Amino acid sequence: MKPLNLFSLGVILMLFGACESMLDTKPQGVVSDEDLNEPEQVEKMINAAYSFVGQNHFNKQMGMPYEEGSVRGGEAYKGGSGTNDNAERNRWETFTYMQPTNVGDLDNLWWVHYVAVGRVHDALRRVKNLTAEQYPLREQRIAELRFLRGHIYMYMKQCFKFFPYIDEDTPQDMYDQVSNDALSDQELWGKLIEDFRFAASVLPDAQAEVGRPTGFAAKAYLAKALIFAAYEQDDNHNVININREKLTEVAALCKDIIDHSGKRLAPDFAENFLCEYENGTESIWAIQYTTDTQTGRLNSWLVSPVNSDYGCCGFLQPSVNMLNRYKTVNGVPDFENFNTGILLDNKDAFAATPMDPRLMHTAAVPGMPWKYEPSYIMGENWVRTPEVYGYSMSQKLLVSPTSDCFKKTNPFMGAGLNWDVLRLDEVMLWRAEALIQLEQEMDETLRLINEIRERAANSTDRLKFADGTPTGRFDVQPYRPGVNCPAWTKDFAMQALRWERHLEFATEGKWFFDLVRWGIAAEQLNAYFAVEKTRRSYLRDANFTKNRDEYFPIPEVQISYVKGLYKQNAGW
Amino acid sequence: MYSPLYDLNSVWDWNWGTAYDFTGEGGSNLPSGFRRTQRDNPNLRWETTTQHNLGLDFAFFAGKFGGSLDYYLKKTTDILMKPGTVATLGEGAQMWLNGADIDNKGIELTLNYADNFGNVGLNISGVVSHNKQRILKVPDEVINNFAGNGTDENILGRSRSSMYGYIVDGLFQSQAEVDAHATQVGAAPGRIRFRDINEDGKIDQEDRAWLGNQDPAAEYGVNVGVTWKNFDLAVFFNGLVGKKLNVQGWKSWTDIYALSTSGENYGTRLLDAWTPTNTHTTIPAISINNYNDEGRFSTYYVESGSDMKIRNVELGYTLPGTLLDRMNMKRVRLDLRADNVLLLKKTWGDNPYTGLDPETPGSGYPLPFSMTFALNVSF
Repeated sequence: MKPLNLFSLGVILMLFGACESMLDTKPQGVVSDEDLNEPEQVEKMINAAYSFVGQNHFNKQMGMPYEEGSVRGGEAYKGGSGTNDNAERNRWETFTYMQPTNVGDLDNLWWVHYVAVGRVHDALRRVKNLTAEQYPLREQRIAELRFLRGHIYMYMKQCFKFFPYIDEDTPQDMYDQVSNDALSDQELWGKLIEDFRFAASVLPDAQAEVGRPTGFAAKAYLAKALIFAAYEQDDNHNVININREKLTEVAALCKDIIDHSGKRLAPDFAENFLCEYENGTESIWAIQYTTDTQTGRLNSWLVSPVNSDYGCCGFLQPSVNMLNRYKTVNGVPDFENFNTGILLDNKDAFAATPMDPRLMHTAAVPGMPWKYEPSYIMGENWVRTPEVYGYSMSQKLLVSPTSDCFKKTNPFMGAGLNWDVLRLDEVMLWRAEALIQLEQEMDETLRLINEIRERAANSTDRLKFADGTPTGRFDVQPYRPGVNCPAWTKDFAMQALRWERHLEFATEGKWFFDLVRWGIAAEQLNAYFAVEKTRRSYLRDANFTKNRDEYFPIPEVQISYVKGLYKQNAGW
Repeated sequence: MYSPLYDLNSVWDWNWGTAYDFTGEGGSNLPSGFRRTQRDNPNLRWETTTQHNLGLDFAFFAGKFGGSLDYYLKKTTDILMKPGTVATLGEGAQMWLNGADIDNKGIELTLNYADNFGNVGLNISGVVSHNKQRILKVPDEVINNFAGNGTDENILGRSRSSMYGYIVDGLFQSQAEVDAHATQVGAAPGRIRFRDINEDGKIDQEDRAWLGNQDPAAEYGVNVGVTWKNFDLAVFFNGLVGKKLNVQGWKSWTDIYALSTSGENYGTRLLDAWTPTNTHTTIPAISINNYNDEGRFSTYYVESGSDMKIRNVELGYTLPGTLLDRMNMKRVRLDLRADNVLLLKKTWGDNPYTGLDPETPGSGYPLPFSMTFALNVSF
């Protein structure tokens, strides 16, 4: 044999040898399950769980549920290029043509929340397998993760009512065998309450990293879960009882937060919607968005105006009904006649009509300064489809295009502006609501609501035209029973409370869930459609079906995957 | 199996990244972690195929007529697939698994005929085949990745290309017809009428049925060759018969205005959409909103995929030998060839094909007709 051939043979043998060992090598760039159990890696799994809760892709988002909670509540129209743009959201808004078989967007949202909770459970199982000696942060991280789980499931509870409840102890091979009717409505609330109660008992009063919830944040979320659970529903979503025990706890929790958390109302309402005040005096827990990731963790994807400084996509346009609610008479809401007469949807009306300045923080119309910049005036060409949706735009969720906090992502854009999931103003109003329902400390409820209103009255410094004149005829005053409003009875106080929530949180994705909680969604929304369809013809077929539309249908795709194991919601 | 991912820089996909701004201060190097990308399956096996053939070759009339008959049984077990999963399983829940056993039975007949009639030589060969597919076994957790209703109707015993959906009974012509029909959300004159198969007075997903499969009843191909003196002519055509085709992917765009992108250009089929005065049409009325859910899979999207194509025609002329000798050439042949000469598709009946070419159903372009002239010289 010639030397060359011997050499070739050697090479071939070496190649064979290499193949053998290559097959045994772990693939590059991936990590196996068992390599993620050390404390340092477990921290990273927790990191991934937080990150997904901040995941906010434009149509599969975990972010503020402004369409689920505000568009469906009649606070705003869907917007965009027409009713067929993100068409499913048009069906959410008008209810009539909803079908469980035709809800791909809901299916995505359902899926995205299970991805999020899946990351929580992945991390939680690893944390629990460590000892406190190995991992001194063990208890606190468990509490944080359970808090996150509560946050994720809160969405499922509010939107779908019944959902498969999976926790870290559910065997992973049983996930697809857990039905959505294994637990009752109240038992599901009980699970959320349990998580927040645990988190409240463990988490510290302050966190070095603001993105992690404090004990007060857990108490606030506990209060939220309790106040929703307190309005007990029957199988058809009718509110049949108001649980006083739960409301008593809500009132006490909120008092604890107000008195001891160190949080206070920001002097100007605007600070809640400006990046430079993020994680400020009023914010109790927020999703931390940032422009420092490429596209990853941004807020406000589709709700920008379509002028060249922004570009796309003109969704979320305040309804005339919502704007009208900011009218005042003697400094208090025009409860009876707000939706007749002059329409508070234009610059002239703003100048002529006594109004609550919070409207200017929430919405804008052509001719008005945008995002507190007196010389940056909204034009008619900023709205995308005025022939369908009119000329209003929302601006709470937006940041100025010149801000560091603004980022173009071609073709979309977003903001690094945080989403304040829990804010002190809401805690104050939860306490007021609980006490009103209990008919206790009625003076305190008046004081709480008036404190919110006084802050609103003081929130006009940024609402000026370039010449320094105010952008509207602002007149908001505290309730003075017997002077500018009737006696502070339970009924009137409750009406005032509802109204205050609307004025304070409009477009923040809460109102629809409020209406369902109070059991008044059908009457309120059908009354809204009756008038609003005369202003916006696309609403002509809109109709809320009582005992059905309080909740979304369970996406049929998911029911099919589990061969009919899930039970479809009542009415669907 | 897990992998690190800081941030996915895509506005079109949802963001699987793991970075989070805990401090609220931002920064370009946020803490990040790992995400699950797929589940391991330690029981994964290679898929296997076993095949049995029974063949018969025959020839008659001194070989002028001959052919073969082939019958085969082909069974593929443990087909590899990565099916979709229910949402509760979470991120990276997909895994490769051995998904199904499929049985194919088929018969293939080839016939040849060759003869000479004076100066004329004739050569005809043809092949016709038929295949029947049945899915024999599917693991329970995978079965709803195939057509079916998710509960009692499933793919077992059927072809993998089976279709399951609604049955369309034309368009509603009047409000009276809408009123007389079962409750159908979004129904209106000019809209598609779906059949109430279970007769419960409402149209829902219980009103779906098997709509056949996309396998052809038979495939055939025929080659005809004729020679006359120095000329030769060859024609090849082939086709499919008894084939149904799922055209949902593009017909929902060509026919349903609301499912296309508003503000963009539309195809000419919409010119024949239903109006109160244009009622003899199958195309539903133009409307901005798809409240009738006309994109759902139904017989509206099942068309005939049968066709017959003259693939190519070739005419040749070989120069006579006497001429070649003088030019020191061995062989000279001229030929003219045409490809994709003719397409016959089903354009009649209740399931005519409305696209360009059933062989390439998603494409907006037909296969190009081409002609080639060739000169072949051998020295």
